[in-house]
Amino acid sequence: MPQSRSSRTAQSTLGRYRTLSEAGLRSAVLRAVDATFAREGAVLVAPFSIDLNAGQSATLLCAGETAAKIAARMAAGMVKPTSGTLLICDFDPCIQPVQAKRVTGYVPCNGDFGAAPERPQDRRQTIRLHAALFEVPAGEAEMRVASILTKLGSDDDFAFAVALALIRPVALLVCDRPPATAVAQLEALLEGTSALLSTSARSEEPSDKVLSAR
Amino acid sequence: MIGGRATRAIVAVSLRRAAAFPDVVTLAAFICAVELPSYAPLAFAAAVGWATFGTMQRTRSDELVNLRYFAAPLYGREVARAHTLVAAVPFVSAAVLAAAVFVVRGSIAGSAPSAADWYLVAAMTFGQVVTALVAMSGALRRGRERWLYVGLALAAGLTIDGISSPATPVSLLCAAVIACALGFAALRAFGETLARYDPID
Repeated sequence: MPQSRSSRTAQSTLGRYRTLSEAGLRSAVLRAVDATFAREGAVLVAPFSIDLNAGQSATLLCAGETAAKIAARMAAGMVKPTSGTLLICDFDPCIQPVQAKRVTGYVPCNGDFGAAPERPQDRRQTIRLHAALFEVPAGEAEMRVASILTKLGSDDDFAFAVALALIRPVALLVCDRPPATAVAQLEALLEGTSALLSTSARSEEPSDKVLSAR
Repeated sequence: MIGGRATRAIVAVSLRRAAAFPDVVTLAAFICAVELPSYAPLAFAAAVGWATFGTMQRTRSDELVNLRYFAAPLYGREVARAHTLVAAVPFVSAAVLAAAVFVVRGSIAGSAPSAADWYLVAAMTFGQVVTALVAMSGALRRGRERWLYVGLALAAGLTIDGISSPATPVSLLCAAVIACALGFAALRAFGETLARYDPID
């Protein structure tokens, strides 16, 4: 099936990053230096710093649900830091949000995208919507989602959200307040993809790093 | 990347979720402005006010802040185009329904609707769409900025309706030109607003 121009652009963005990364010209998939988010004078995410390399996973431990939610969206390139630096595969979400989002998969907390549709036709529609949003051929997206759900051995809300986030190859998977067993579930899927789990409660499962943000 | 596919997908999903029924208040305003010319200013004000506050209320609570669109690698202008098309549908369908009402009424009365009626309805439709477009930018803002956009939306809509009130070909042409200029500027601004918006709620 011929690929669309934007689909090729998305793949070449990731491919270029991987080539440079292998040549040692790029280091961190996610690099944050004192990244913070404030609104109307209130600091909602206190400064956090992180260097997450290819294939690594980390848990970002935040003081509250709101901080965890916003920190995850910052790492996914959806929310721009108000101070400090945050780079996703060397793309700055403040000036290159589209490029940053092309290499990132975002798994929302339950309910933020709505529950996983139960009827097969609704589920198919959701997959097709995501395929259109991420410029992936619809047939390829459906096969990919089915394959991910099989690997996860589940089709609950979290598994479906992960499958939608990985509807195309990404360098970084960001999970917003995932279930406690997320690391073990994701292990089979990641294969070199970095993962950042943003949570307000320490996960019982091990990840490479545990960072703290107020 | 000009994401026609993403835009079409957002429009299709949004129209499925929020049924694309004709906007009843706009329909009533069209009929009032045509049938009761002396109350036309009141109809303009009601239509523009409804387009402003109704759009802000609707869009704030549903598709406009849908997290899927912020997680996807889309430019603000792509999403803005989709939301604009969705917002225009109830007004355009109200205009079509109003036209049908005038035709039926004319056939019952044995007289065709006058050209002035069509000019007025067409120009008011432009006004409604531009008002909704400006109001959507306001829906994503807070405090004083939001009220500024409310004022801009009301002013834009009332200006277009006011220009169209003589209901002549020239007034329709002027209203169309101004609506296109304001609509283009509003669409650009809305795209910028979406690109800068931080979905933290």
